[in-house]
Amino acid sequence: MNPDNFEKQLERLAWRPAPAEWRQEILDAACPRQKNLAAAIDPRPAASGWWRLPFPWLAFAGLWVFLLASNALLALSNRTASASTGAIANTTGLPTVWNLQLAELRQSGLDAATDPIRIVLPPAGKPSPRPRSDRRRLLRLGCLDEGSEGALRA
Amino acid sequence: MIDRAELERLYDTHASAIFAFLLNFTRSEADTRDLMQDLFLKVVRHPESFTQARDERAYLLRLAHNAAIDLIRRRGAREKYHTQLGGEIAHDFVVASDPDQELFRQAVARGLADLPADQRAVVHLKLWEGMTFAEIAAALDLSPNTAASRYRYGVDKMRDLLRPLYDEIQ
Repeated sequence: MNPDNFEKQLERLAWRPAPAEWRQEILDAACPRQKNLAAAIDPRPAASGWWRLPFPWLAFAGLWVFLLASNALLALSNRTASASTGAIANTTGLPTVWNLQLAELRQSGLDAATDPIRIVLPPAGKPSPRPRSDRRRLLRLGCLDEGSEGALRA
Repeated sequence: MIDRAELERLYDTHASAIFAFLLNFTRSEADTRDLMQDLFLKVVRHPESFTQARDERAYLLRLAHNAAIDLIRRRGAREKYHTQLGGEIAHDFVVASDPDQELFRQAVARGLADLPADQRAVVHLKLWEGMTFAEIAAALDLSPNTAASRYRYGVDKMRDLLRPLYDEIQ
C-alpha cells in the first residue's frame, strides 16, 4: 500500500456537515436577535418599563400632595383641640388627676399617727431587716421620712 | 463586540470544520452540539481574544479542542470516556454511492474510533484541515515533533487496520 495514496484516499473522504437546524439554535443561544438583544442587555425586565410613562409619576405626585395636606390638616386640628381643652381647665380650675392623687396621699399621711405600721416598728438600736416595699410604702404615705428612718436605725 | 451578522459569518465559514473536528474527537454528536454552542457563546462573550487571533479557523479549532479536553476531564477518567465513546459509531462522513467506497468509509470511521483522542486530533487537522505540523502544534499546545509523531502513529495504525480492505478495493 502506497502511503501517499492511502493518505490521499483518506483526505478525499468528506465529512458530513453540521445539522442545518443547529445553526439557528446555536446562533440564537450565543447571540439573540436584535429585537431580543436590547432586552438581553437591559438588566431591567421589559415589564418594569413603567418608569418611562408619565402617568405613574403623576399618580405618585398626587399621592404625595394628598399625604402632605392631610398631615397638615391633622396637625392643625390637634392644635385647636389642645387649645380648647386648656382653656376649659383654666377657667374651671379643675385640678389634674395627678394633683388629686397627691392630695389623697397627703390626706392619708395625716392619719398616719394611728397607723399600725408605726406601732410595730422595731426598737431603736436593733434594726431589723424590713422589706424594701414596706419602707417605700411608709415613705410614700408620709409616715416616715429619710431623717426619721435614719434616727430610728441609730 | 461581535454582532449577529458577524457571528453568522463565522458560523457559516467555520462551523463545518469545527463540527467535523469535534465529532471526530468526541465521537458523540450530542457532545459536539454542546461544545459548538459553548464555543460560539465564548466567542461572543470574549470578542477581544478572538479579534486578536491571526487565523480565525486555527483559533476556533484551538478553542474547540480545549473545550473538548475540559469536557473529558469533567466526565472523569479519560480511559472510561474513550471506552464509552469509542464504541459509538457516529456517521462521520458523507455516505458514498459506490459500495466499495462506502465500505472503506465505514472502515475508516471504525479505525478513527480506535485511535486515541490525541492522535485522532492530529490526524484530523493534518488530513482534513490541511494544517502543517507547526500549525497543529500551535493549535493543540504541542511541540511540532510531538504533533508529527502522533500523526505518524495514528496513520500507521489506521493503515494496518485498513490494509486488507484497502488492498482489496484498489
